[in-house]
This record gives sequence, structure tokens and C-alpha cells, in this order.
Amino acid sequence: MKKVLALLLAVAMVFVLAACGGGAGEKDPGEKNTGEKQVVVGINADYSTFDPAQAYEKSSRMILHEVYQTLFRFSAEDDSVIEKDLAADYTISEDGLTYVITMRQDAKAVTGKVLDAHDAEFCIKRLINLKGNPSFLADPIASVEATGDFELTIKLKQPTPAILAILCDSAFSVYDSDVAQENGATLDPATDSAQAFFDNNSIGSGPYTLVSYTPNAEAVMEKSETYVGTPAKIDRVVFKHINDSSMQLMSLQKGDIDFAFDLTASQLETLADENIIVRNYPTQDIFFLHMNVDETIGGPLANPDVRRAIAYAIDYEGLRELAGNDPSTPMNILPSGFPGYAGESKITRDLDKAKSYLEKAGYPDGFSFDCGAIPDMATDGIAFMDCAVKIQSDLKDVGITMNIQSDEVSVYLEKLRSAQYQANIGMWGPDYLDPASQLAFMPGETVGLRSNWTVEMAPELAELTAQAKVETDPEKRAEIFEQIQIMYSEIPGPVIVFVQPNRALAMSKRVQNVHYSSAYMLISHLMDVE
Amino acid sequence: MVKKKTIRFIKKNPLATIGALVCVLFLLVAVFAPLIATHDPLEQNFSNRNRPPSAVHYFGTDNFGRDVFSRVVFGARISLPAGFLVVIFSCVFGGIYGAVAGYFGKTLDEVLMRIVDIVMSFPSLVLAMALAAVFGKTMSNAILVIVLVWWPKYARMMRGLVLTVRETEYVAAAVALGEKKSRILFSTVIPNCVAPLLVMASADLGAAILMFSGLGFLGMGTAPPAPEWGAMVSDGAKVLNYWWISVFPGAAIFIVSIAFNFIGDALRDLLDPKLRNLE
Repeated sequence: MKKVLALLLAVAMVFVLAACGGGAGEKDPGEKNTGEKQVVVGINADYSTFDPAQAYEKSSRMILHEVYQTLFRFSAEDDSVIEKDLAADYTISEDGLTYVITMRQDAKAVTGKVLDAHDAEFCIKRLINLKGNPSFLADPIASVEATGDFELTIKLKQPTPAILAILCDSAFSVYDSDVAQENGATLDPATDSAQAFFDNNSIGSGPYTLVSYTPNAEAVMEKSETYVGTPAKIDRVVFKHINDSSMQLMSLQKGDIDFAFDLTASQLETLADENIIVRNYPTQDIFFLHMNVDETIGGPLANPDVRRAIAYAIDYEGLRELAGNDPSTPMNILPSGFPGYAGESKITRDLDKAKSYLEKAGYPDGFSFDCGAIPDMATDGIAFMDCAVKIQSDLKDVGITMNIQSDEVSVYLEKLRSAQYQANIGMWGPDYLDPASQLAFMPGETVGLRSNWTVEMAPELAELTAQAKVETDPEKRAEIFEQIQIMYSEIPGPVIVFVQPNRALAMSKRVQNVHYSSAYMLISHLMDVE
Repeated sequence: MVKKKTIRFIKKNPLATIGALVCVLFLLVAVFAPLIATHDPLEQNFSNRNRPPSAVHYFGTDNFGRDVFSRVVFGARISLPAGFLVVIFSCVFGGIYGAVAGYFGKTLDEVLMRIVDIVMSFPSLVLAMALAAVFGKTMSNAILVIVLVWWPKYARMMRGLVLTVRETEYVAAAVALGEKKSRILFSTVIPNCVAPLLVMASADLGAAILMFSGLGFLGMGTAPPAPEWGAMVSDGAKVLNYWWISVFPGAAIFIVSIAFNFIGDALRDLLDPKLRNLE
């Protein structure tokens, strides 16, 4: 009988465990009784450092953008507008290679120092030299030099129309270089030891300061007194790491958190709570089926007709429904919201066409392939595994067997980066908000090479890519990007994009004036609470 | 006569009877799954997602519009064989291992039993999860990793049994007849130790199914879209409003494991009163 009781308990525990994924510490929600305003954000955060020269996770920008200023920034109202932040003015040389930026003279870091061109020079040089994850953003830069106390000259290797958008990235944050150097920052990757300092302190001029960061628990920002712009209205913003979406939902309903970042589509569907509202914000993320075009790894997938067949076999409408929050399907690698966007995909599910392409390719009875996907992970409310299961069932209708390989994130990334996957369910958010960022999908570029797509396989497209990189005339540039998308679909390239989601943010009604940008995510310094 | 005996058994062991009936029921469900299921367990229907239980879908539909009832029915074809296989493999491997350790004794015994101690000192679910992550997530791997963390308790028990049987007169007689040691072990010693081991194994069946579902729940069991009960509970746990997605497979796990436990307890009482106070 004892055994029976123990079993009952065990079963009960399974259910309890299901209910509380990671319920670490549930304390003071909302405002503290001192009258300070506090907002708590629940997020399955992917950041691991707040050193501007090392951090390259999407969510890290949400904090870096608040604690540091950059020379330029994307407007909080409209992602496609670039504003001056630390820059007061700038000139571009005729050949498009030299940018002279005059900086404002009143931006004071929390350390008390006024940030000048020497600080900016140090910060950008450190970014370049450390060769951290975001350092590649600075690749177009040939040299950077303070040509006056408040004048910075940046020379480029070749005309790069995307440079202002690149400079908006938090990797180009400007901080007090003296204090940074006192704490181990150098321009030499071998001796630089400032990362730990940056993880727990911030020495920038942004509207907030970073007070503490405990990995996998929380990051806390407090209002800065030295910010030159309109001061933030919320005194403290806490980013609480909650990896389980049902836990986020419960915390939001209880009022422990004000924002839940990672609710799934079905959770949002059933969310009926008068104190919670859900808002959709556009993203430039794309979800896709990524197929290896190297015959030794990709097998049948290396055949363009097989890829066409798969494109016609996928039920895009169903996938969009699965994703929820009203997403769209772009033609291919360029999401809507960028200049040069060629419009939505014209391909809809057509099993007859899919079958005829399969026959043409020599696989009338289908074939089987492996497809990697990350279990229990969702971005923008879309679970990778759900997409895999849906596509698996779609492809079964034309006789193609897709075996799902469920790989944890670290295994997945390693296999992906070494181009070992036959196929995988992938997601990509642009590195910076400029269409040039999507050129990574082109043959011979980073993402292209993950499916072993080399320049030789699509020389014409590679040629167009080279043109797109240097074209400075906005209209011609948009035209080239449009051509790229059309050509990509004709080949067709290794990637079939099925969804460009919106980001649904569930938030407490007491939070006002919420701004969300796809570059910096939540803009903390503009929001307020009742 | 037989009838009377049966009635007396039922009266004496009502729980065991219920357990046996339930188990037979689930075994039948597993065997005749295609006949019982109303839908294809893998067929997705997007116009019919997350519907509550109805006359068409007895247990409702899940996030992909798949019929939960059919999935639970087909799930029996995964969980029941998995439970049996785990117990059989653990029992055979652990049994032989323990018998060898107990019969040959001395240094070999010391070494073998210390290995058992080491394996047993790990928390079994955590070790199983780690192994599953290394081996990859398939049904056979999930069974394998549970066997890897389970066999030591059978080894320990078998060793204890062999230690007693080894000293009996019939073994001494076999030795006197000049039989080979290995032959004595397999034809004389082990057959006399098997009964208690089987009792333990039958009592463990429920726990094995529970552990297998536990791995599935944590995403370490079968690969999707297999209708594995644990994985189904985990799918539904994300959206508590659609309770039917997780409650029905959860109930299936609960009922099956408790039924096997009833049988195990009854078998223990019946075959081996000595064991009642062990464990």
C-alpha cells in the first residue's frame, strides 16, 4: 500500500511540475511602497553579457540601448528612421568613404565625465580589436580617429550605404573610456578583462544605469540622473528571466510581472483577463526551412526541383495560423519593412504541382530526410518544434518522409554553423535594420554557406549581391534587392521562408506609452505606469 | 471448484482484480488500437484546432487539430511495450550480473558491487536525462537509458538471493557431482532465485511506465509527432485553458501505472510473503 501512496504522490508531482516551470522567487511586483515606479519584464532572455563589445544577443540590446548612447539610433516611433543620438551633425565625403561626425558636447556619463570623440574612438576600436560576436558589424570600417575633441572621423573600406544603420547597433555604444580602462578594458583581446565589470556596471550616458545582473535570474536597471534627454519615468526596470512560457503567463496574471515576452500563440488566444492587453508589433524575423544544397549532405534536397516540390507542398496558411498574431509570408529572404521588399510569397500549397516536380526530379515516390529543430523553444511566440511537426505532416502528403531530429540549442547551433544539417527549421533576425543584413543568405555568405551554397553554384546571384553591397543610390539599391529576391525564388535558393511573425507582447494594463522597436525591443525610457 | 476459488480471490484482493482488469483492458487497447481509434493519430486538421471534447472527438483535439482520443489509444502502443521492455532488460541484465557477483564472490563480487553502488548513487531521472541527451532522442534510446539506471537494484537483489541459495545442500550436491561452475550457476542457482525477482519486476512495471512518460514529458523520449503520453501532457501543459490536451494522456499514465502496482502488490503477497516487508 505504501508503494501505491508513493505512486500517487509521484503522479501528483508530475502535474505540479507541469504547472511551475521555474518559479524562483515571487516578490514585490509593481511599485514599491516608497512611491518609486517599477516595471518588471518577464522574458526568456538570451543575453549573457552586457559588454557592448561582446554582447550580440537580441535581448541584450534592450538593456544596452537604455544604458548607453550610440552615435545614431533608430527612432522609437519608426524603425526605418535614423536619428542622431550622440552625433550632433555629420558630413559624408563625395566618394562615400569618409564620415566626419560632430558629437554633442553635453552627454554626461554616470561617472560624471562628458563623453567625447576620444571615448567614441576607444569604444569603436575596442569593438573592432576584441573580435567578439558583434565585431563583424565593424567590418566595413577601415579606420576611426578622433580628429578633434568632439569630432570623429570614420573611414570605410568601400562605400557602405548601410553604415549609419550599423552605427545604430548597441555594439557601437559609447562609454567613459577612462573608467573602462581602469577596470581592465584595453584594445588588445589578450589583455582585455573588462567583461565582468560591464556585466555588473554601466558607464554610459543613457537614460538608465545597469545596477545588477545575475545570469539566468535577473538584470536590474535604475534611472540615471545624468541623461541629457527627457528623463525616464520609471525608476527601476527589472528583467526577470523566466524561460517557461506558462510560468510567464501565470506571473503576468498574478501581477508579478508587467510584460510577458514569450507567450505562445495558443496561450495568447485563450488569454482573457481584463488587466492584460496584447499588442502586436512587426518584426523583421523570418522562419524558414533550410536545406543543404551539397549533394553529399543534402541528398535529394540538392536538386532544385525537389526544393520546388517542397515549396509547393508546404501549407503556408496553416503555418501562419499556427504562428498566430496575424503574420505574413514574404517571397523569400527579405522581410517586409525593408526597402526593396518584393512583396508576399505567391506560392500557395498545390499538391499536384509538388508531385509533378517530384516526378521531374526522379523521386515520384518521395524520399526521406532528416530535419533538425530545437525542442521547447519559441521565438515571437512560434515554437520551432511545432513548425517542424506541421511541415512533416504537410510533406507526408506528397510522399516525403521528414524525420525530426530534436537537438538542444547548443548542439543545433554547432551543427548548423558547420553545415552538417541535411535540413533544419531556422529563424533569422537581421543583424542591423538594413536590407544589406539579409545578404547573409546569398551564396558564399554566412548563412548561404551553412547549407554549403557557394558562389560557383549561383554566380549571377553572387554578382548581384556584390552590387547590392556598394550601391549608394537608394532607388537603384531597392531595385537590385528586388531582383535578388526574384532570382532567389527562380533558382530556388536553399531557404523556404514560411512565416514573418509579429511579436505579440502581453502586458499589464497599468503600463502606458509602450514602444517596441525591432532593433531595441522594449524602449524602457519612454514608458510610464499609472 | 475453480469458480469458488476465483470468487474468494476477488473478495480477498479487490484491488488486484481491478488492477488486472484495467491492465487487460489497456493491453487490448494497445493490440486493437487501429480498430478502437476514431481518427489517424498523426492526421492534422487545421480547421479544427483545440476543440473541447465532443461526440466526434471524445477527448477533444490538440494544437494541430489531431484527435486526442486516438492519440491516447495509440499511445498505449508506445508506453506499454516500453514499460515491459525496460523491466525485462533490467531484470535479465541486473539478474545475471548480480548472480555472477554473488556466486563467484571475493574480489569479483567487490568490484561488481562497487560499480552497482556508483550507478545507484546518481539520481536516476537526472542520470537518465543526461544519457538521453547524449544518445539522442528515440524510443529505443529512452528505453536503453532507463535500463541503464535501473538494472542495479535487480543486481543487488539477485546477489542477495544467490548468496543464500549458494549455501543450500542441492548446490553442494551439484558441486560434489563435479558440475562446471557456470553450469551450476545457470541451471541450479538462478532458477531457484527467479521467483522473487519476477515479483519485484511486476511491481516495477508501473514505475517503469511512469519514468518513461517522465522522460517524454521532459522532451527526452520519443521524437515528435509520436503520440507518447508524457510528451502529450507536456504539449498541453503549455496551454492550461485547453485542459483536455494534457488531462487525458495524464489520466492514462496514472491509471496504467496504478493498475500495474495493484497487480504487483498482489503478486508479492501471493508468491512471496517474505518480501512484504522488504523495500
